[in-house]
Amino acid sequence: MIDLHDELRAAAEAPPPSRIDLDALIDREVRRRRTLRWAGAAATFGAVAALAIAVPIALGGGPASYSGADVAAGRPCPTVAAPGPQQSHAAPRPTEHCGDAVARLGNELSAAITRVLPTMQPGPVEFAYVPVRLGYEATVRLTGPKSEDVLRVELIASHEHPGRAGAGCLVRCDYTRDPDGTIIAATQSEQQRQVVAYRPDGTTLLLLAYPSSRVQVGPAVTLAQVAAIARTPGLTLFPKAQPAPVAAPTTPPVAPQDATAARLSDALGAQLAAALPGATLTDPNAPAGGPAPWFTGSRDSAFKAGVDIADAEGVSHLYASLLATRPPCAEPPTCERPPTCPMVDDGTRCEVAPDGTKQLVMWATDGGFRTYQIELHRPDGSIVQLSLTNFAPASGGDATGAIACSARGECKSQPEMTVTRTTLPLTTDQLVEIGNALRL
Amino acid sequence: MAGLPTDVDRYREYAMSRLDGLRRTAYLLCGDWHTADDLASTALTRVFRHWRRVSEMDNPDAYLRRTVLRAWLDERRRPWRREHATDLLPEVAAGASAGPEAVADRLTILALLAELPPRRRAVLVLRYFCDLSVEETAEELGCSTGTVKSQTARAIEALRARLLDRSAVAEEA
Repeated sequence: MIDLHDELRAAAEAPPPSRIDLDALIDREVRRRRTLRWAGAAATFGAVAALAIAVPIALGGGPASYSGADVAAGRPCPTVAAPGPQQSHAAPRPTEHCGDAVARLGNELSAAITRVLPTMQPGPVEFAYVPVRLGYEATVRLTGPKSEDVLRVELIASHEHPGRAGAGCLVRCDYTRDPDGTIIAATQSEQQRQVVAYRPDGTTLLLLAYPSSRVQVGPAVTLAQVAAIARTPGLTLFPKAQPAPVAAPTTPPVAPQDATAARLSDALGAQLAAALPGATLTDPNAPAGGPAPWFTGSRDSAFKAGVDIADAEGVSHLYASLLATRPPCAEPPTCERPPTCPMVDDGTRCEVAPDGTKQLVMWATDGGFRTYQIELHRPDGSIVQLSLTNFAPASGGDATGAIACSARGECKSQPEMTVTRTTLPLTTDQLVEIGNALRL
Repeated sequence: MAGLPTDVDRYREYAMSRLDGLRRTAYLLCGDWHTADDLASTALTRVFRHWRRVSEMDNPDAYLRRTVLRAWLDERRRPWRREHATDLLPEVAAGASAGPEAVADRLTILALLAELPPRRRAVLVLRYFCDLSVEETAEELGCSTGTVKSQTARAIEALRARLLDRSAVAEEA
């Protein structure tokens, strides 16, 4: 006879020491409450500030702008003394006189509408200069045989770095990269069509088409037509072939290699040479004539290296990092738990090695992209991470223009990514073996 | 400090006194001490956030138990959030008096519990480990007493089927 009371009590007896630190829990909650209070105060302040700005503008007849009527009246352009939109990088500022730009853009848009939408009759096409955004806006009514749409067009000096352009184009969004480098992100719903074009010259062009009345179900203009208008070369803030918006990155001077970094470089190089005897290893960060891989960094930050592995099948890319973040685990109550297996579409394996090293092995595929990633969390507090991919921001290979997902399941647009080979040259077990050979 | 429990010491005292039982309950629910600590920590955090209200309750223990129960049921609904370790960690050392058979029994009952659906498992833990009545269990789980009785009967039936060759499971009326 088994008594369930006794069985359950016996099963829960002799628990390990608790990892719960009540004082830390209380401190954390106190900090959280304080942060929330500050965030709330900041949000309130922001709302009040926004109202303080918006109300006078609304009462004064809307934002300062410069339109075709101003051109006709010969009024001077507003002075662009404001800092302009917040830019995440050194994007160019338009230098064209706003009166000229208003007239030029109006002509370009009219011609584009006539070309792309021959059956629709456009209303007046009139751009307005919006100094605070360093851009131009126009709203055009498009009258068709059975419908009336509104086309909203905005051109602004791009405040998005070209490498991140279209990063928001994830769900139900068509992402294409034109041969001239223009990135087109197109989305549509029943009620609207939206296209955002990021031009290599630094112009961001937003087009939004929607029906002029709620009675009409959706605009008559198709997404392809809106995209065709967006591709009009003349719809730019820089009509005379301005220089590229982002200056070419300057190569930083090569710092002398740390002794540990040199040892890690040798160890990883030897492991790769043994596992892939016929492969050629190159590291873009290595100094001229330097060995590959070439670890950089220090014990205070992390040691990192990225090596391209070329063999008969193509090029794969191995990224390695070693980090000593945590203090060594001395007593069980202070030990961290095994790392949590992240969600990965394809698979994850978490194991504890006999020496106490916690291993995460992840593999993910997305279209042609493949990633193997391992993490070794050692009892001494160091973390080794190796990531092997068959794609890179390198020239050559098949341009996919797709959304890439990292081994941790984080997906984002990777317009620069190219698939450089179809398979990966190492297995996850081999990666673990290589990782085990790398020690700080 | 405004908005914070003014009697942090009382909370600390309360939490310390309930911590051990809370961890054991969570362990029986989830079958893993690491997860049990997570669940207990989650429950204690929530109780701290509402301590002013909880401390005035007639039965704060019931609130704490319900919180850990819900944390576990929520966690079960997100199985992809959990890790699935492939090796068993040697977390629990067998006591000196516990022979191999006792250890085997303990593992057996945990393995059997793990095979039960979450709510059925919760019913057993609440009734036979937390010693709650049918009515109290129904209140904790937010269901009827009839549901608790039927879930209990089915859970015991399942255990009995698996232990048939060893012995019968004692039932409570």
